[in-house]
Amino acid sequence: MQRSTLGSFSAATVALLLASCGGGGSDGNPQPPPLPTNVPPTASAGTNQTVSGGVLVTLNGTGSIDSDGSIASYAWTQTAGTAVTLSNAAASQPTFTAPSVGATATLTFSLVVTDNGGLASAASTVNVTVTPAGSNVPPTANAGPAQTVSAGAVVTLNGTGSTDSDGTIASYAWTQTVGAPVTLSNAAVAQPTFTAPQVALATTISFSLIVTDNLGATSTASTVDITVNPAATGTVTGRIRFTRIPTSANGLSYGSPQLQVARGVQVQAVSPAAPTVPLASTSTDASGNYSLTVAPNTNIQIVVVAQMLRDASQPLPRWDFRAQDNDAANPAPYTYTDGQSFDSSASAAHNVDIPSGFSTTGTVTGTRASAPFAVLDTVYQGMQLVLGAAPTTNFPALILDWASDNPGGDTFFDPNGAQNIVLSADPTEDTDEFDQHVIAHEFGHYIEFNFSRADNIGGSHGLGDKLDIRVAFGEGFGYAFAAMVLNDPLARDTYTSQTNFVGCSAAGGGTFLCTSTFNIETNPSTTPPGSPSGNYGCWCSESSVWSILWDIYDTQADGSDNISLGFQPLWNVLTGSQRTTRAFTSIFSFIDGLKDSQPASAVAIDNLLAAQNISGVQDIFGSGETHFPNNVASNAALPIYTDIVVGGGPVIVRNVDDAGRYNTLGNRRFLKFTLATPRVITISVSSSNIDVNADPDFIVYRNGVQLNLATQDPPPQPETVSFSATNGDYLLDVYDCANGCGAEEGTPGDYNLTVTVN
Amino acid sequence: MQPNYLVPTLRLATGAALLSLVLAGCGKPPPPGEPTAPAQDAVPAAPAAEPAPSPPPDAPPPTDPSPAAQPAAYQGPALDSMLAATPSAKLSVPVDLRYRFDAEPLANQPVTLHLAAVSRVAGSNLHVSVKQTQGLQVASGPLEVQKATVAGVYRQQLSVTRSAAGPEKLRILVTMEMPEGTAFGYYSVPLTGGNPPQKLESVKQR
Repeated sequence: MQRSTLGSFSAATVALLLASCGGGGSDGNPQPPPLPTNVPPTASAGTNQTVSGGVLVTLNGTGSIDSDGSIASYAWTQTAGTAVTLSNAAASQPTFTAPSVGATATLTFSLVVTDNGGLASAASTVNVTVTPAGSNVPPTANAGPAQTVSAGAVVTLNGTGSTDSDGTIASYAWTQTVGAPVTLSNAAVAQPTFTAPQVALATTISFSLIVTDNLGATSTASTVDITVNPAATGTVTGRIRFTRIPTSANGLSYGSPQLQVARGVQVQAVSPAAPTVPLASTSTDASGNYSLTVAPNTNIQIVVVAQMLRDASQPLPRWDFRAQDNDAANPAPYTYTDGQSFDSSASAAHNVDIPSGFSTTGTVTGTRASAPFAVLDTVYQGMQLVLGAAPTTNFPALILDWASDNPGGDTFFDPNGAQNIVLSADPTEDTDEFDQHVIAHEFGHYIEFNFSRADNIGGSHGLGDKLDIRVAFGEGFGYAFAAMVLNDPLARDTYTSQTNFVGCSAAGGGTFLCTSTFNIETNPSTTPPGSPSGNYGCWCSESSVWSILWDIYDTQADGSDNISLGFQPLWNVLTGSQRTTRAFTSIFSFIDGLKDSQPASAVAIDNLLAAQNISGVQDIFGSGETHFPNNVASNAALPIYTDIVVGGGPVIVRNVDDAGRYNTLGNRRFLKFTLATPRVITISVSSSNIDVNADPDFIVYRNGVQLNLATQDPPPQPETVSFSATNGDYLLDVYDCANGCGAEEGTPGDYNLTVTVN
Repeated sequence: MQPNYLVPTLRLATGAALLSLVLAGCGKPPPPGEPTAPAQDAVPAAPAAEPAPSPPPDAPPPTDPSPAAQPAAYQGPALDSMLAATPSAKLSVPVDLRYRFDAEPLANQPVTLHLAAVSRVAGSNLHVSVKQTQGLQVASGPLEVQKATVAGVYRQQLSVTRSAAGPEKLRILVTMEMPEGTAFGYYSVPLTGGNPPQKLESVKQR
């Protein structure tokens, strides 16, 4: 110890130096620095002992310490028991002869040490238990020194310091007394081992040791504390990419595969020995990068999971989109396991590229591993568009049901039960994992269903069909949404043919890769211009709907398009007035809501409507509409809704199959009435269909919500229902089943439906 | 058939069991008792070695039957006697495809298949072709129609032979060009089980 004895000069000099640096006392006068302080030493009188009378006993003060110097002297004093004579009371290890005793007696000694600075310690005491000569002295257990280790380390306990003064240690008995249970290699040996458990914070584990001597005497317990610190961690980083087969005007370009970053997908680090138990997991960022924290020097593999997840443990927004095979025995998101295992402490980034499983000619050569990730990435883009308008959206769970044995052409959104988007996957006919407009279109159905309202009755539909207004809007919105998601109005849907059509390219082997293409931006208008009846543009055309919505959204002014509102106003209408409209969801209800919320754009919106052969929208019902498609009789197309008065006599509407069945224009006719006062009403519908099994049918809606009514079902006609009706706005969806039912029934044709409400 | 339409939800469920016909849609068959008018029927054409020329994007819609769509000796069965082939679930081609076999398709026995493509809108370059697969022999090339009219009926008959291990259904590709763009659709025609029920799908599928 270097005792500080600074003179007054030195102290003043240091004080002045401190003052010049801004230090010193608050009164402005220089203050002397604190002098170094001598720390007192700590005495240790050793461990308690048990001895027989007549035995030479050694006291042990060598455990005494001085943190800032050295022990200069020892002073032993007997404080209790039969007096004995120490060999040297100033030695670190004095001895004495245990006295002969008739019964067990205890001698107590005190030790005070003094350091080289002259400071004395507090007293430390030790007991020496003296047993009568000839008796067996119990052993003394020593559980060894305390230890501090890292989680995962192998720890060795040490009981070899245990002693027996008059014999030998015959056995050891270790017991854990504190902490999460661990397994000792052998609790009956002097030096058992165990593996320190994984912990999040520093944790103490304690053990007790009792030893037994060769004559069966047992010691008192000795304990030892093991402090376990969390394991040191390492960071594993990298980038995930998947292989996309790009589309072209002539089919999928298998010869030009592209690696694209996989955004928002789950990434796991696993041990090759236990690949189903992730050691760590995370999600890729918008650049496909991931960062995982795992224990160092661990052999791991990277597993990419076809799932985008932000669960309830995190604040909004949240989502759970997963790509899986719903027909699997235990459906679960697809995974791609990187073939290479590596040391987690390796510093290099670990990138993973997921292959397509296709050759450059489109032949399947392996697992089509990238397909689920390609599907998810389009959903990711759709989610971003929504989050841009509604940053705290809580997306309901959605399954992307893709499997290599999914049939061609069967791509659809199914909202029933667990919501699914099923995707076709037959590359010899039609596989959709790389058709982004198709996927985004189906995702648009999911968005409309969950955040707006979808009165769309579904069913097959073809490009150019004249549709039920509910179908036209739902399908048109889907493709407009897809164009917005992808910022690309040129919609493509690829397929494979055995015949060479326009839009195909030869792939060899007698097959051709083809693309169905339509431009969201440039839907043809009516012909001839100004005619009330037209070939193309229509409020009943999904093509018109997508063209109008896209033009409202996009930034490009062209033709009749002089408006650019972006997505936010469209989202606001979708989730606002369109969700609660008292009419069916159609271009009329949507545009009416948009014009109400964007009055300054009303003229520009009407210009877009006119270009699609649609009158300026006056209300949610399309009142005043005068245009109709030329393949459907005008009295089967207009008015969109026919007014009927409660108790006002029958109303006749025309029901036709001019444009097809079930979901095309004229298959269903709509009537509306308002009930101001609650009352029992009876609705009756009959058809001019003379078939004995003719089946007129109807569905009742109140304020836009379908009522679950038990109607009296013909034959014979008419179909009727009576019910207690509350006041509100009512819609009737009426049809002859031959034209408008979900299955072929009777002979489709042109019929009059007579409707009464009394 | 008289489905129970007592409750709307039950109506949907019942409809789902029969939906395939709806999904396929149908043309406008003549009233019962009237013969099918094949005035626009097309004769089967030889397979095309090259794609048919496409009209310019802004071309007016075809309004007349295609020169290739001449009245022919082949009349085919009445439309309302034919079943609806199951179309693709997604956006497809606006064509109803109907079919009828002259006899039940048996393994290794040729059977005549009658097809009728009914266009719901005007278009051009209507193609109907049966997908050739292992275990299936189809003795005909694709049906090609340069100009298809609204409600035009375009027919073809084919000889189909399925081996015992052959496919359980025919897959038929229909393509057509419209002013809105080009479209395609794969349709299914069952080859086993006589007149089996069509594929079941919810009408709410979109």
